[in-house]
Amino acid sequence: MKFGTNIYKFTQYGEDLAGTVEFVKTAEALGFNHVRFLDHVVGIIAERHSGIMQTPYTSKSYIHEVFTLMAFLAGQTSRICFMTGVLILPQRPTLLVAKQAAEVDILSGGRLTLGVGVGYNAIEFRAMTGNSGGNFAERGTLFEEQIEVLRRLWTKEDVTFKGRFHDIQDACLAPLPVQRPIPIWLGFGRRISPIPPDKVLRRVGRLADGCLPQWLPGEEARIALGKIHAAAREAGRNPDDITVEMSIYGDGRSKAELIDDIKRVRDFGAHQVHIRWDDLSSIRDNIEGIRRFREVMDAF
Amino acid sequence: MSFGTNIYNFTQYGDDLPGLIEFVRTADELGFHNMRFLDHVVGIVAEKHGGIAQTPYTNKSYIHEAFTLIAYLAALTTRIQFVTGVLVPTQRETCLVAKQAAEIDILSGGRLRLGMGVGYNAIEFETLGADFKTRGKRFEEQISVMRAFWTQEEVSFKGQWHNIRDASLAPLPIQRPIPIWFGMGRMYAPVPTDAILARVGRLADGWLPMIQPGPEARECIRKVHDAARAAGRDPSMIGMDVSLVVGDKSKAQLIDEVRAFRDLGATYINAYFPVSSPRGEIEAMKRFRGEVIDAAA
Repeated sequence: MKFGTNIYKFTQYGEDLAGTVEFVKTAEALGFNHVRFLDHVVGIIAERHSGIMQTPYTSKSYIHEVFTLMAFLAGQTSRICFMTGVLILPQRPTLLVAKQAAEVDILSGGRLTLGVGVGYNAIEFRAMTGNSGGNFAERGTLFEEQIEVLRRLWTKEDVTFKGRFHDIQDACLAPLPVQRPIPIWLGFGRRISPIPPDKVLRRVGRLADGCLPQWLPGEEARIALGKIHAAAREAGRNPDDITVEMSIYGDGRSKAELIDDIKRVRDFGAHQVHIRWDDLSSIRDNIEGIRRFREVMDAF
Repeated sequence: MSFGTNIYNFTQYGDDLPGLIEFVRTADELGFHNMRFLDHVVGIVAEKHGGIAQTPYTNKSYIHEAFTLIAYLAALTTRIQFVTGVLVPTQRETCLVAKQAAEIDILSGGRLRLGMGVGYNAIEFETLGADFKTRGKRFEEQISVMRAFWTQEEVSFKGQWHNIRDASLAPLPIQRPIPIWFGMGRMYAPVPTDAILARVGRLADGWLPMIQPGPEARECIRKVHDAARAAGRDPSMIGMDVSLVVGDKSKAQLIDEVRAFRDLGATYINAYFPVSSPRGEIEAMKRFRGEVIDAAA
């Protein structure tokens, strides 16, 4: 069983770059497989944008840019993997994502997993007018085309692609990434409404190397995972090739309870576990949290 | 006047990241002020496009992405300034350029200088889905947007190409704003158009001309300074980062050229070492440091 953690809550602690570096190095030393990094490019002054969906990230959130932060950490670590969780793909220009992901993969010696999502914040999407096109409502279609383009650029030395949003003729990335292609995992849903529409589940089954659901084990989740697997089979893929990483919450849970939680998600079908906490209020607390969690990991 | 160098030749050395890292760390240790990094997001298979005018960079060039490479090197160095030489923002997304530049500035402790240009490769623009014709005007608008993001906690901007409402970058960079220097011209055609020189005078914190000492260079500088004054700016605040081709020139000649650049008013001199190998570049840099920099002072 592989274990990951994240720096999501660090956005609320203010400026502490040294603490972030220490957390990631500690996670590496403790044997975590990966750390997840979130992505927002522009902060939104939430009270002036009544229309956007509830977001924990606003203009006050202290968000390090994800590709440059991972590059910075790559040279200070040697084993731990970096996962974007998730990169909001449609608001970025596709070829630049391809190039920067390839570069991080090279700088880290093949330690990148690109978790991607379609995003939910229309204001941020519109602020980024130099993206690969389309409007907010079309971002799902753009997203699927982007995934196709990314994989071609990461595996071929001469790429020609004409789609609705891309017109690429005899172009390439040099150097190519270490992983050809870099794994693309799909994130979806929210903790308060973790089961996405069928369209999204089918997309995961057709396209994803892995997925990052927010659901907890249960009947609804079991049906949803079944839909992903059915779509994979329909697309001629082996459902087992889609890695599933599920989250467990460490707040107030004893070691024994956490071991039970992990067994439950494993029995449900998760290949990897992502440990997170809601209540911690400093980087120091997070470092203590992952240190204590080490004992739980040792049970697997 | 301080000295810098660049990693431009490394695009020809293939897969040698350790060599590149050692080159940059050596420059840091030797006290070079800055290191320039080039930017091309996508390579173009040149022969399928009927050849591309005036570019030494094709699909065979091994080009590390500028921002992520700088972020990586920020952790491995302590003093050296990172300069994009040059980044083409018109091929990128404005908010993302602002955000990534701010991040690198933070990661490096304020060691970023952003050299930017409008770009020249139309096929790259087409491939990246960016409009080539409007790049000059768009470039100017992008600079306004970036400076707003780097200095204000709330940004609203409605222009011809941007529509930003009540948004911000958090964290802000260390340098507020990050210095923006304009790149222009080419080694064999170093004199830019009047429009480009005037843009430097109006908008830039500095420029990265390819001009060599002489009457033409002085004329270019005069035009930049005139445009600065016309815009109500102090011309002495506009820095000049010039390029010195080291080649196989003698020590005496290099010292003469450095002094001529100093007399011309250069803030920084960027040394271009001959194409060799990562090891050869490190040796050339050490020689230049030992034989030229101190002697010319």
